[in-house]
Amino acid sequence: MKMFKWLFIAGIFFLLLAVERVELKKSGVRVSALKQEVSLKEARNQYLRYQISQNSAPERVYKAAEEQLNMRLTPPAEVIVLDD
Amino acid sequence: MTKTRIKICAALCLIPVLAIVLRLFYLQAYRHDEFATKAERAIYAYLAEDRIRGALLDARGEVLAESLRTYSAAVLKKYVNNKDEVVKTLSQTLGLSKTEIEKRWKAAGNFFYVAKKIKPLEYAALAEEIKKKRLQGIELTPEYERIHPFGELALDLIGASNSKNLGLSGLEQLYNDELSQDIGKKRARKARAGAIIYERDLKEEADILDIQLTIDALSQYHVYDVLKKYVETNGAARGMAIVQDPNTGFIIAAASYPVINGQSMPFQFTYEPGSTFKSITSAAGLDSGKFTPDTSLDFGHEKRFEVAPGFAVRDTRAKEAMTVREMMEVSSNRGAAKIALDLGAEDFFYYIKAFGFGAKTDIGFQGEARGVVRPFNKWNKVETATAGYGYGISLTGMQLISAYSAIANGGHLMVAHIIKKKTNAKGKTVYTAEPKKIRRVLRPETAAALTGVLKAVVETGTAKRARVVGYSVAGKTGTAEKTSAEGGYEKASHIVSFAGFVPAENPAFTILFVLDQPEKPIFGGESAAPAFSEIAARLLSIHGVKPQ
Repeated sequence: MKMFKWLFIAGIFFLLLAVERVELKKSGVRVSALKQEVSLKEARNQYLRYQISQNSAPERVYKAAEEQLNMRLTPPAEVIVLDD
Repeated sequence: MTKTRIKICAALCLIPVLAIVLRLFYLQAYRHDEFATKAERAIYAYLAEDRIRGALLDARGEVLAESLRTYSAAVLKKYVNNKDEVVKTLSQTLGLSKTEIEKRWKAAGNFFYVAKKIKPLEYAALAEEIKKKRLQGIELTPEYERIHPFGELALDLIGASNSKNLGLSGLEQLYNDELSQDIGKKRARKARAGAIIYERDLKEEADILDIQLTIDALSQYHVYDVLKKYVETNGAARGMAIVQDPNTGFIIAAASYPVINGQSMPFQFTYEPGSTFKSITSAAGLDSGKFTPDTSLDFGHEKRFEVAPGFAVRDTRAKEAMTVREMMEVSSNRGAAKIALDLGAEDFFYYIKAFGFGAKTDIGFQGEARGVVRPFNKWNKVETATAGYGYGISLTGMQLISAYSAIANGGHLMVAHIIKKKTNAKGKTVYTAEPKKIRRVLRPETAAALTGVLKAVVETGTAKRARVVGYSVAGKTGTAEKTSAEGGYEKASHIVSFAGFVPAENPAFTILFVLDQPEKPIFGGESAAPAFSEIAARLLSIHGVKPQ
């Protein structure tokens, strides 16, 4: 009877161990998929930032300001510098 | 009898056991590799080797170059499970025509590329469709595209890197080891359907740096814009412009036109400077104590200065006598030659070397030139005299601007910096450039006196067109004939330049502007000086430098 009790406990222990191992692997797969998703989203964000940077490139901004808004760079002597 | 039967039964029972043992032995001893490989493939997947790369930023933190992960899509025909669906999906997600894909399909063997450098948005859509439709035979491989949000701005400095993230030229190559990191092939456990099981040892700490330059993108744009305009309107072969902070030695802008990846004229182009070098001659003369700005250089009634039998120096607008200040104002070759000769080859050479000519900067830019300054003991009188007005000596733009900065900041030659900061992947700064003096080249009084002389050059001399309304400018024009391949000089081929600083009293910028072989006009005062003025005006305005 005593032996059956120990066998039962050992059985439960190994079952839990097996469940834990399976869950660990499942988590590993989920983490791996999430990491891939994060990496893809980072790349997408980076690409969107790149497009924003392209649009704010000095050449583009100055051309747009001059050609579309008829703006000109102020001569330096006419710039009023406010002290901090 | 019974014993015999038991033995037979035991032997019969042992036969399959023996067979199994023999089979196991055979598999272990003779087919071990085959089964080990099969097991390896079933259990493990290998993650691709990778090389990650940091970004290059401008002085304000704007991205000048960074690596974007892109993908290439290829088809492995023999693994395709649904050809029509594969073609349709590729066509829809990548924006390619079906006919084009079909054409490549027919022309290729088993493998062909459908598209390269697929952007993340398209890749995400394609990966989703492949998963949803359970398509097979499409191979997506990660690769990199080095992106430059500001287009060709500073590309001559930045240089190039390839799709494997390896720096090939310019700063990309110079700092390749710090910018990039190789991630080795890693073994990962596979789950069902080929998914990877993440384990702790798959994590790789990024050990790369982002490098911030001293180059300010906005200033670089303005400098480049003016340079491009002047190269084109003057019909020049090429040109360069450099802006340095004379107080720190930081390079604010360094432009070449036309732009070629990793080929920076300020570092690599050597030339004989002509009259811009007279400032160095004058500095040496004044600092030696043998001359003052008002010392008279008397040539008697001669309009030519005979240096040696058969070699005389002439001026286009000759004066019989002039002071050192007037010599600079009219850019007299006779005067500069006389100062150099009176100073003597040894002393003059000492100052030339002290200003940093004939030596590379500490930047170590790929292909940086040293220039040519021959040892003084090999100079004869003619070579000493011609060196006085900038012939027989060749230099780089970086050397000349650093020398002018030394005059501007009161006499210190500063270390030229192009790297401002290095930051690791965790955002921690691991290097910050500090202004560093190499040596004192001139006494402060000499620098102040020479600044006065250079101001006179702009106010009343040959460089009136370098003036900027509201600011005092100090500088010197230069027009030099180019050396000919056959020896001597080409009368019709020139290098025109202007080097100076602004505001003269409290300089914020030292600027060098050079045009190589302009068609017209051929004088620095007419083409390089106005370019200097335009660059200075724009920089003073955008940096908010107060008028005087």
